[in-house]
Amino acid sequence: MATPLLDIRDLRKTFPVRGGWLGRARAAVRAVDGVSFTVEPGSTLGLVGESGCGKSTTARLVLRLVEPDGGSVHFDGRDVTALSDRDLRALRREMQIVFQDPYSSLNPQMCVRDLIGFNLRVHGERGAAVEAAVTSVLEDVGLARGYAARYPHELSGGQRQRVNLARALVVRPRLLVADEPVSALDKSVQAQVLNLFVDLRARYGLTTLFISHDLNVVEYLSDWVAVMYLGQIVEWGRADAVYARPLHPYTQALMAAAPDPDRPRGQRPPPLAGDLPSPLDPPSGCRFRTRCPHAMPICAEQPPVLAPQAPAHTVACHLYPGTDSKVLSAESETTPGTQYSALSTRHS
Amino acid sequence: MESDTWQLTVGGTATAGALPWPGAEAADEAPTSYWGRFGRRFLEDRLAVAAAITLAVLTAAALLAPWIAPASVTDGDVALRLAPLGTPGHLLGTDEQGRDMLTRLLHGARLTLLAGLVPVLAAGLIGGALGMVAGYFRGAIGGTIMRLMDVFYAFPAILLAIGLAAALGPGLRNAIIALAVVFIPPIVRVAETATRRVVVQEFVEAARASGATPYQIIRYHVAGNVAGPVFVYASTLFGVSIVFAAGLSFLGLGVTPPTAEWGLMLASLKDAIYTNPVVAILPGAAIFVASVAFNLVSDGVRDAFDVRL
Repeated sequence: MATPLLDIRDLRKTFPVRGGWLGRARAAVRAVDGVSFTVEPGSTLGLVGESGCGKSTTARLVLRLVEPDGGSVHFDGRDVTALSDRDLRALRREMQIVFQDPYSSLNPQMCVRDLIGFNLRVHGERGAAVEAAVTSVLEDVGLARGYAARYPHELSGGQRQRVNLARALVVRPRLLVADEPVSALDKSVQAQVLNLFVDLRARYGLTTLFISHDLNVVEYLSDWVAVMYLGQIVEWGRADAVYARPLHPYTQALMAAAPDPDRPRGQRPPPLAGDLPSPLDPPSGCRFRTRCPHAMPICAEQPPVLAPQAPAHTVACHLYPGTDSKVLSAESETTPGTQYSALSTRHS
Repeated sequence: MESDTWQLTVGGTATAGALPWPGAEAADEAPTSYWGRFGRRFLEDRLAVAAAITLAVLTAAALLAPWIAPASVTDGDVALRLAPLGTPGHLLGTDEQGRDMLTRLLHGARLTLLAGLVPVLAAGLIGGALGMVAGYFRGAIGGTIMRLMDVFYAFPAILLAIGLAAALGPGLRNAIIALAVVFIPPIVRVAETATRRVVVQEFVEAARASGATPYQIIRYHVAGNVAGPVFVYASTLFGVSIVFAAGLSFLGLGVTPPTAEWGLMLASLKDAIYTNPVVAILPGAAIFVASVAFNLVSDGVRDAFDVRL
């Protein structure tokens, strides 16, 4: 196993909810709560989950656009969370992001040439080198030369996302974080941009963290998949393994909900009941238990931990062995775990 | 670009001239910039354009006053005091010292327009910069700047201007400084609000992700987008500034006699309001026209900015 280019450990971020006397924090949203994963060089990790599960916050934490409250982010062996502002700015050249919203992600006052060139200029490049790099990257993303002088309001959503991609790629980054880059686009345009993405990923030798709520998109693009629910990763593994045999009830429900033209009518499993619980007050124990068809008494008592079930496939669910956090801590504590172990082997 | 890597494309290769999606041919039209579109929309507003022309004429007259004025600014014909409009040699009559009104009004335009523009421009630059810093950094820096501005808000604007001008002493320079200080706090507020709206947009986050320093982000991504709202607000102050400056001169806190300035002229002619009202209200009419023209241009600017994507 190669050394990971990106190594995230126990990342945490809490957003205070202000209000009350003198704007004191009334409550806290645990947007990202102990997320860990690695991305190997040249591979793509797809991060999936519903809206509001902390996917985008994770993306911003990885790039340190948002300061984490805990945990670490190692990029190529360097601790991003410990870098000084100056070192971080220099490192940003190697890790870029493409945002979701093709409208607010481009400054309406700058033409395409300046929008893309800005990324090189902040790293001290000037003149003909910038011009040449912009021309070349525009060609790579499939925009004609004439677009260099265009302004964002003159571009379609798909063209804007091409500009966003060009802006990220012009500095030749090693890591590309794509935060739902096609979600705001029409289906037909999505396909074009996704193919472009696949093409450029190979050509630029990119390592990618691809964030999406669309399981089909993630399956198409990813080598690895991590499924997120309420700020935590519930299942993680090689994409083919996870898609062939989803283990976590949440993953199973998501896959059942995803449109699949091959599945005959009437064979649809029941959709996921209820809404995402408030991250202000997540359920005790397993966070998914309020919507889980297999919820057991233990689920309310203990949060399950990620445990390997197959090579390169881990899951955090009490239906599977090794996910009982008490078992792990039993070495230090003297908790009897008999009743739990009986339950946890039930489905294995 | 190899077309075989485009597994789901509509068809075609991604080279210039044959692009694989519709609308690509639009690249042949001339691009229109953000400011280009602003200018086009402003020109569609007839009233604003008329007001802008009025201001241009006033400005030209002010600049050319020493050459086009028919008589001396300071020396009058004592025998011909308060001559009515249309007196031979004195198209707009004479004032209480027999000085030619047209000459005095032309020269007065220089100082009045200066007193209208300079405080607002100075306040726009200083207030805009302070507001962007406050809006971008927020927290301790932003809080300090904004609370400091709130202190100025405790005084009514005209009272603050009079107090500052009185403290600094009479003279045009001090009147301009006093007015600039009065206009800074509201401009800071406008700039801060606009900045807060801009910095939450993803293009600012993208600039941060690209490794830009706060200065580069403010300079290249925030300033242009804050300039619009600040300019719209500041343009409403030109008229106010002219009236305030004239008011300070009227009260003896602005320019000193015998300099020609509309506010001062209004003050010295106020006793003639019963004997020769038409001449006496001329400086007031000039202030009115200039101030209304500034306000109409300001409305046009605001409308031109409002129509945004």
